[in-house]
Amino acid sequence: MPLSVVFVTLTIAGLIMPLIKQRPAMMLNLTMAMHFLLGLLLILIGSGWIGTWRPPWYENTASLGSGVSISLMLGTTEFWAILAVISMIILFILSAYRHLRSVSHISLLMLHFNLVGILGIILTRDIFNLYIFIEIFTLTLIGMIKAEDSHRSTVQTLIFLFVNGLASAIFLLGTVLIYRNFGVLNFDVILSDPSILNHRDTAYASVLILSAVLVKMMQFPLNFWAKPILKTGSYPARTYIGVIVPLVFTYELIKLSALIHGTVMVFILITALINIIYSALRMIRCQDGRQAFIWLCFCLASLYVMGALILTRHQVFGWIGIFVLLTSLVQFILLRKTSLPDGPDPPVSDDATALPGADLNTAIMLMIAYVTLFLAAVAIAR
Amino acid sequence: MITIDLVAIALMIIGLWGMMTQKNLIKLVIAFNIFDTGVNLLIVSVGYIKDRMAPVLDSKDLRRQAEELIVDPVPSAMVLTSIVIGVAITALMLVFTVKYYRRTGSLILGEER
Amino acid sequence: MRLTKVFGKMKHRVVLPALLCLILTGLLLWMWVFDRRGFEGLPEISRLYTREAINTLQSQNVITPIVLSWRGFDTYGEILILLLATAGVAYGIRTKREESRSQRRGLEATRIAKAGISILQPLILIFGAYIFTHGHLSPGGGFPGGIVLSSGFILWIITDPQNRLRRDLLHLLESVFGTVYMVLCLLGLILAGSFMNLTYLPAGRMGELFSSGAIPLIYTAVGIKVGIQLLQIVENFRD
Repeated sequence: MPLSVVFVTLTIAGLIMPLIKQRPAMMLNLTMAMHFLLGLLLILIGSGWIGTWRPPWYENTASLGSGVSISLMLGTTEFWAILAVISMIILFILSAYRHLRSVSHISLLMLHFNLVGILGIILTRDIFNLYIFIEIFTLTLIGMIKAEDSHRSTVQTLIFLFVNGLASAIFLLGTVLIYRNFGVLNFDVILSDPSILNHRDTAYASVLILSAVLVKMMQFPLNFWAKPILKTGSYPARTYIGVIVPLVFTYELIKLSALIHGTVMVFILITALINIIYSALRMIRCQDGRQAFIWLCFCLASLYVMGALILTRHQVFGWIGIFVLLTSLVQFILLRKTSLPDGPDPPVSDDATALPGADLNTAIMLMIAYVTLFLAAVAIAR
Repeated sequence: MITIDLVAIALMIIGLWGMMTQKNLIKLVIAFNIFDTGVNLLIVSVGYIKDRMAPVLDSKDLRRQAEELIVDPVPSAMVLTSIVIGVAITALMLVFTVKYYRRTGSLILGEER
Repeated sequence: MRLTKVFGKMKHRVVLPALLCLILTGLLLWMWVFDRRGFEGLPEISRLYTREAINTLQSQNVITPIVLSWRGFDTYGEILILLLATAGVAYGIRTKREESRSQRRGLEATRIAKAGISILQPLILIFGAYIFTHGHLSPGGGFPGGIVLSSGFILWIITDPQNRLRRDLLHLLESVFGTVYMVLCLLGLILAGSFMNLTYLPAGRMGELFSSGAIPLIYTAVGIKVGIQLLQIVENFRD
C-alpha cells in the first residue's frame, strides 16, 4: 500500500514537471487539488476496506468498527498531508527559484521554519501544541510577505500581524474552554468520547477554534487580510499564501472535523457556498490575470472547506465525483481565462497600494462580527 | 473566582473596542496587548479550585497530600507559553510600526505621505 | 438632514463596535460565568503529572517539570517563536545606519542612573541567575530569569548611548545555549528512553538545589538563551 502511494505521487510529479516552467502557479493549484483528492480517496477506500468503520461522532455509535480507532484514520491523513505538503514545497521552490535567489537569507530561514510549523500542524495530536505550531506557521509567513523591501509590504505585514494575532488569541480561548470543562487537551481522547463531543461548551469552543482557522484560511467574510497581499504582493508571497495556506488549514480542518456539529456545520457550509459563488462570479467577470488569481484562491479555499467537511462526515462516494467535477471545472476555467504573469512583477501603481484609513478597524470589526454571529447562532440553536 | 472571570472579560472587551475604533498604530498594539492579557487571565482562572494552594510544595503537609491541596498546574504551564508568544507578536508589531513611521512620518495607518 | 448625517458618521465609528462589544460581552458571560462548572478536584491528567513530579523527579515546583518535560514541545516551540521574533526584528528594522546614528545623540541619562548602574547591575544579574537556577524550587524559572538577566544589561545600555553590546558574541552565546538545550533534551532519548525525559540525572531530595534531574541545567540554558534573545531585540530596536 505505501509503495503504491509513493509510486502514484512520483508519476503525477513526473507528468506535471514539464508543465511547471510554463505555468507555475497554476500547476501548484492542480497538484494541490490532486493530492487532496487522493488523500481523501485513500481514507474512504481504507475505511471501506477495513470494514464498518464509522466516525465516533456519528449519531449511531452502535456500529463502531471493532479495533479500528480514529487514530488510524488520522494517521492516514497525516501521511498524505506530509507527502502533499513536502512535494508542494519542492514544486514551489523549483518554480520560484529565480525569485528566491534575490531574496535575503532571513526569508529563507523563515521558509525553513515554516516547514517546521507545517509538519508540526499536521503531526500534532494536542490542541495547545497545535496553537503553538499555527503560531510558528503564521509568524514565519511574514518572511514571505516581507520578501521585498517596500512600503506596501510593511502595511500588509502590519495588517497580517494584527488579524492573525487576534485570531490566534481566539483559538486559544476555544482551547481553554475545552480544557475547563473536560480537563483534556488530546485529540484522540476528545474524538473518541461522545459525551465530550455532544456537550454544549464543546460547541462554543469549536466555534471559537473554527472561526480562527477560517480567518487564517481566507474564508468569505474574513478574507480581507489576504486580498492586498495577493493583489500587490511579490510573486513568491502570492503563490505561497494562495496555495500552501489553504492546503495546510484544510488538513487541520479534517482533523478538527469531529468538533463540527449541526449548526456549526450549516454555518460553515453556508459561508463557504457564498464565498464560492461570489468569487467564482468575480473570477469569470474579471479580465486581469492577477485579479482572477485572487478570486481563484478564495474560491479554492472554500471548495476545500466544503470538500473536507462533506467527505469526512458522509462516506458517500458520489460526493467525491461532485468534488472532482467542481475542482476540475475551476481548473479549466483558470486555464482558459487567466494568463498569470510568471516573470518578475511589474511595478504596482500607488493607488493600488493605498488603503482607506479605517481598513484595519473595519477588518477587525468584520472578524469580530463573524465570530459573534457564529456564537449567537450556536447559542440560539442549542 | 467569578470576579477574575469578569475582570478578564472586561479586559478582552476593552481590547476589542480599542482594536475596532483606534487608528493610531501604537494604540492598536496596546489594545492587542490588553486583549491578550484578558485571555491569559481567563486561562489562569480556569485552573483555580476553591481553598487550595499554589503548586509549590514547600511544606510537609503539601508534599504528603499534594493532589488534594494544590490548584491545577497545567493552565499555569499553558499561560507561561502564551505570554511569551504574546511578547513575540508584540515585538514584531512594534518593529513594523517603527518601519512604517520612518517611511511616512505618521503613526496612523492609511495616512501615507 | 444634519442629524442623519451625524448619525451616519457616528454609526460607522462608534455604534457598530459598541453593539458588537455588547453582544459579545453577553455571550462571553453566558459561556464563562453562568453555569460555570469549575473543577471539583484535579483533572486526571494533572493528577498524573503531580504524582510523577513528586515521585520520579522530586521537584518542589510542580509546574516546572510540566513545562519542561510533558509539555516540552510547547516550550520548544515557544523558544522557536522568540527566535523568529528576534530574526524578524533584525530583518524588519535594518535601514541605512548613518541616519539613525545621528538621531541617537540626545539620549543622555542623568547622573543618578549612571552612578546607580554600577551598584544595581551585579545585583540584578545575580537575582536573574537565582531565579532560573531555582526554577524547580520556587515560582519563576527560565523565562522570568532570562528577562531579569536581560534587564540588567538593558539598564547598562540605556544609561549611555555609546554603550554597545558585541553582537557576534551574542549570536555565538545564543546558538551555544540553544544547542545545549536541545542536547539536554536528546540525552533523555538516549539515556532515559524518551525525548525530553529528564530523569537521567539523579532526582535527589525535594527542596535541595541539586535535585529533580536535569531541570536546573535545562532552565539555566533556557534562561540565558531567552535573556540573550530579548537583549538582541532591544539592541536591534536602537538602530
